[in-house]
Amino acid sequence: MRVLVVTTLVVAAAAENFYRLPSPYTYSCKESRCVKEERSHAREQRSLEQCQLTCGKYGSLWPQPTGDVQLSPETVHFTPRNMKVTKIAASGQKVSEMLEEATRYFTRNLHFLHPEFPEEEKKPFTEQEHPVDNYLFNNQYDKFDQQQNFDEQRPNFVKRKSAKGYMKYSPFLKERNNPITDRQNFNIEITVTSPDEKFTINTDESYNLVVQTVDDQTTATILATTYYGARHALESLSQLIAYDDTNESLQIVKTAKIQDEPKFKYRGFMLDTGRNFYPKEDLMRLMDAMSYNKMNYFHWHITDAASFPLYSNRRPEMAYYGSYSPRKVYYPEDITEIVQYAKLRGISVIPELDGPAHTSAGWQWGEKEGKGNLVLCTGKQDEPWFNLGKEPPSGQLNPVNPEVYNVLGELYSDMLQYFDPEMVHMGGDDVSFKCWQNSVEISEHLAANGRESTSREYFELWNTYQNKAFSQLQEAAGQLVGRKVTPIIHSSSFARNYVDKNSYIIQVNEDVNSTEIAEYIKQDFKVIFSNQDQWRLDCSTSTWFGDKAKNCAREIPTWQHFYENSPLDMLYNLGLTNARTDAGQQASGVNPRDLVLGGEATLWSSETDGNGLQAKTWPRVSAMAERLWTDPILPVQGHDTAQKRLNTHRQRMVFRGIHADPIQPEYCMHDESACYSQEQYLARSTIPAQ
Amino acid sequence: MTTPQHHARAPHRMRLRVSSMVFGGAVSMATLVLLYQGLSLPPDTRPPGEQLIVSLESRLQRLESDLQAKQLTITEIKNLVRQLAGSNSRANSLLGSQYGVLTASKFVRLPSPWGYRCESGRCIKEVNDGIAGLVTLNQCKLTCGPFGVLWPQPQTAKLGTDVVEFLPTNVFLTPLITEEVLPLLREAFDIFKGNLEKHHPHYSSGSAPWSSHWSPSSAVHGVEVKVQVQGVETFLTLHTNESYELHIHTDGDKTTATIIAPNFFGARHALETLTQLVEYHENRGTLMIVRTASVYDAPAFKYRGLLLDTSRNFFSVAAIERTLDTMAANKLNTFHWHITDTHSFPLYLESLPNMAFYGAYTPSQIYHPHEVRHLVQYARVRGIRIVPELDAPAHVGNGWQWGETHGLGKLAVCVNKEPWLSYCFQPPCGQLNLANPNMYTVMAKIYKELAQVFSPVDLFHFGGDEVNLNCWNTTEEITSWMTANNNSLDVDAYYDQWGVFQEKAYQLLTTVNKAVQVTGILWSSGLTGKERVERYLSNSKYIIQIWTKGSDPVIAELLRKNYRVIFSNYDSWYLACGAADWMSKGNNWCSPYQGWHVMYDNSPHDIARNLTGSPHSDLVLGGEAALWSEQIDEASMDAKLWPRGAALAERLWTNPRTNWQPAETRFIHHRQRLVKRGVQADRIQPEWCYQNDGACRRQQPLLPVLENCLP
Repeated sequence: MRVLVVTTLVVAAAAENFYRLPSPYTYSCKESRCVKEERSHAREQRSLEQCQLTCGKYGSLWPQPTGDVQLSPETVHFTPRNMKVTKIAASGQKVSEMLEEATRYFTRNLHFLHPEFPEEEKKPFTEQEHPVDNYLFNNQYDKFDQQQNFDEQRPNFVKRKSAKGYMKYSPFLKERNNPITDRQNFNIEITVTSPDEKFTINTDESYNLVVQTVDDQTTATILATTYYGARHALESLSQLIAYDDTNESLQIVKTAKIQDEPKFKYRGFMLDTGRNFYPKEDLMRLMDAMSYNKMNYFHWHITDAASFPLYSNRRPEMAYYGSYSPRKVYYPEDITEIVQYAKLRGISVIPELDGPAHTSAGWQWGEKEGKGNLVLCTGKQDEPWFNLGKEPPSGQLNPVNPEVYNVLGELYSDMLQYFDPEMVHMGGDDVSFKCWQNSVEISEHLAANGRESTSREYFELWNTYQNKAFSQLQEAAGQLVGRKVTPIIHSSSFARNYVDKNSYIIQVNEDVNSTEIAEYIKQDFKVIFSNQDQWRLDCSTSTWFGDKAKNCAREIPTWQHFYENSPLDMLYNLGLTNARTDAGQQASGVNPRDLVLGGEATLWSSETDGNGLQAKTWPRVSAMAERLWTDPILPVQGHDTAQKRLNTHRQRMVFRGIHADPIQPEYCMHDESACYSQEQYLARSTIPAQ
Repeated sequence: MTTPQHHARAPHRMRLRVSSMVFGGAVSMATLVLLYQGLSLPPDTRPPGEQLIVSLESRLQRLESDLQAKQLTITEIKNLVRQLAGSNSRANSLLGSQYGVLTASKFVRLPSPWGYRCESGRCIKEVNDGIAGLVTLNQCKLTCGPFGVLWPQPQTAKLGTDVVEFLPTNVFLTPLITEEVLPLLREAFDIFKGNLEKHHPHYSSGSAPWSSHWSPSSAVHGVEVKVQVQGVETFLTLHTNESYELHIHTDGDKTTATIIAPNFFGARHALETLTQLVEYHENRGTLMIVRTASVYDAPAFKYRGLLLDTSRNFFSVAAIERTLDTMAANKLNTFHWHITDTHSFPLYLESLPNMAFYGAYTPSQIYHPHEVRHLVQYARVRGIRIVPELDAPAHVGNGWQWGETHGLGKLAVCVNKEPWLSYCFQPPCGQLNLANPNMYTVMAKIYKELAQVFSPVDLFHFGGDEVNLNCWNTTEEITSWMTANNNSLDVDAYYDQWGVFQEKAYQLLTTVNKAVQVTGILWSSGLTGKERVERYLSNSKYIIQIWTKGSDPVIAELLRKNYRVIFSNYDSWYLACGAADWMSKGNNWCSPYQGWHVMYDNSPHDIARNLTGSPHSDLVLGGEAALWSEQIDEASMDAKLWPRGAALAERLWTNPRTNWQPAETRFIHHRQRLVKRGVQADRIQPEWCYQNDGACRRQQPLLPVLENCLP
């Protein structure tokens, strides 16, 4: 009989308003995984989101913190209207301002968690998007504590009419009152001790985060040395919060403690805007997404042979001839805006001016202006590109034309002015000796100097180029930013044999476990890992220059490849067995571990533009971000929660407007124990569960 | 009015035009268009300079009238710009340069130093010296080559080489058609006009800022679209004739596009073709249409489909609408909707609300009947039929759990059973309970509602793939039922019961469809295998959809037995391949990723010919690309579907004798078009290749390569 009554209720209610019915399921945490069960009427219902936040030692935190983590199994409900920043203690005005901005951004991201927040309004958080008279701060030293007439005094009652930016669309600010959630206050207190507002490779990114709830007061306390640590803490805090469908509110883990700091200093992403152009907004979204993963370096491969979208005040010819269209140019104001946007998100921008290869577009004006051939092998002499370089269009700077270095000096000056960078990437990849071999100008130059056309001489030419370019860069740096900048160069036999280990950082592109990698370390080079078979994102589609051969011979790297590729394990495998210990250092006294600054995923844009960028990048780069932040030891002892946390993290990024690819059917999130492979099944049944 | 020509002018006098631009319909900003660029360049290298635009703050607007159409000297212009630029740092920094002036934050345009001319079907990029009569890239592409930028390629086309400028506001419809078809046509024409708007680079949410100082002739130029349709068909079937004729001629200030088609569906395709004979004119801020054209066109295949799986992951109605829009842009005509699977049951049924209650991922991830009806209509206006699939007897599970608590017994067995490896091909498991007669009652209700919301159902997909006999054979209820009915428990006996199930399902659908038989589609499976297919499935009732490799001998078998077939061979037409496996490290089962080249070259007729010696054009109805959604949801679907779906579309519409190579430049342009229409189609090449037709080709190296020259 009881069954029949329930049936009737379901059907009747369904006719009225089906999707306001509660879900028939509840979720329980078993062996660190959320498992869906049909709800029996006796038990309390636990929503999926609540389970995800609290199940397993690390809940839905991504990347996994490296220090102590304690999360209570309960959550409390609150509305973002009742959230406020009650304390910002910083030792500098600039840091205070940055923290205020970071909390505004944090708040906006919480509003995005509402499932009815319109997708198309999830834009980069620019000045138009965030109103300065944010309720968050207007009421900082507020009336809430003593207030009696709660509802009328609530700031958004007034503010809502004049809401700007994202607030216009936030369903949280339109909802009716709910006594359960309205009661709860959520306060944030931030203390930052260092006045240093500039990010460098040595910046302390550690933080402490404590969430406490006493009755109707929940307080999150953040303590960090630098702004950058505090920013990471806010990101972690946001990952202790999820939407709560039952109350149409947010929920936060009731009490929590997190101590955290990254294992690697350099956690980077490279985007190529030379082969295809990305509008400013796409880059800002990229900075957003990187910050959700606590990544800290954006290597911007601005130009390539195909286009030169960088506007240079000193050399406007470059973009005039080199951009795809006048709309597809990065102007100084755009760059300043992007660099500032990145900085607030804990990201330092590294501009690249690739050379001597990967140059053609934008350099065409030399002869016309009496400066000779600035670039060679552009295919104008009836020579097909494949005889001159690696891909169309071919082109390589003319190392024997002194004007090239003057122009480089001007471009570096502009770059330094616009970016004020800590490091500059100088390229140095894919240099084609075929090009120089085919060039009459080079042959004549070599002959005139009594040199032969051999590989050895071409290396010397390259070295000449590199040294002169380096001097131009440092000279410009001295003049414009009053300091040296650190150059990065791609790995190659040239880099190994010619460049100075004390001046350059090497970006290592070799395949995983290639023996060359050990060579850099043995020579005491500082390195950034970018193994092209593991951490390169563009190897997923067919080739673009007109044949069906696959772009990449091996299988495409999946999120697991990105996750498992471990620089230190690789060094260990290559015989540098002290990479994971403090013992047994190199002859120079340096521990190999300290030479590994970190890693970087790369996206070469031959087959990608703004449309494909996000799905190709995320969540695969999230997986790498955990490798670099946490450096988990594999195989994981106990319950491996990486996949389930990544599922949740991916969903969170989607809520925030990032079009990340799903890695599984949604079903696998509703039953985190269901989607296992044969190997995992066998492993599970042979190793007793902890 | 032909192509823009270089205007002869005194070397030191420049023409100045002023126009205002509207941003997002709200902000108005004065835009100064002046012939400033090239001031200090030698005369022979000066571009025509139509388009140096200085966009200025609104405070400058008042100067607009003073400036308009004045002839000024260089110094006057420079001074003027300085004055206008005021304290704007970018403007000032640029003033010292010869490469242009631009200010203000939002809209920035340098002039382009390049122009294009058409040479043997390719657009060649050159420095625009203002003398050679170079045109913009869009204009060149529109008229270069026998088919311009039409996609899919029509059967025959004759396109003029001139264009004429017009504005979308001056486009109107003259319908010469039957009453029945008029509402459909009006709606299709509105879509057509909407697509014209989307050519504008500043198009946003429904409209574009068409405001500029056009030449008087382009401002008044009218485009009349005459549509002649005799037929009264309002629903697409396998017998619908989708052919059309399209003739464009221009006389004075009027262009007439005449469309002649046997029915609405042909006329709709003609409207799509007509949109593709139009492009945006960057220098004029207008549209341009090919002056004269004549197109005769008809599809090579009747069934040109796309499958979307909304069960593994959910897709919103908006995402499905966007997909239907894009299918229409490619003249694809069948949307195969794999609605349900074991993972979730996202369809709300009035008579069986428990299906979605138990089966939907979340209460908001459900298709309601009014939404389904809306999609059916939405598709029809775009020339698309929706084929619903209710996969059975396998691929059912979540959503079917409520039988026991509601006194109907187990409707499905093995639901979410573990370890899944033993009972199904991927988690979670589930298969219909053949032993429970109530299962058929429920099936009948589902079919009835499907037949209603998808009405009229022309084709119905019964699924029928990946039945796991071990599930049934390990379920006590089923084995005892088998035994009680004197069946053995071997493979053949289970196939017999599967066959019985399929026959009952067919009858149930016929019954609820008012006794009208519907042609069924089934996935190729054990049931469609050599030994069994004729025993269980009649070739007059069923079409078989082939998803195994294109070399599978079962294809020949089916064709010999006169089964109609649809190709979805996974080695070419599965779109989700080449991604991560979703349960373990490594790539998914059907990897690698197949690029557009492979999709384009996959020819059903060639496959049939290779296996049987005949193309079997009567039995091969067409093909379908499948987007299974284990690792895809609407966040990233567009880039998986497009532009590869367009490659499939040309194979199925045109069925060219040639491979992808001659199609490449049209394809790249078409991809750009899809992006303009709001689809996040993937890039296939650097933009450089788009601006340098044919330059991104690899041929055999001609010269010996220096050994080890790449470090």
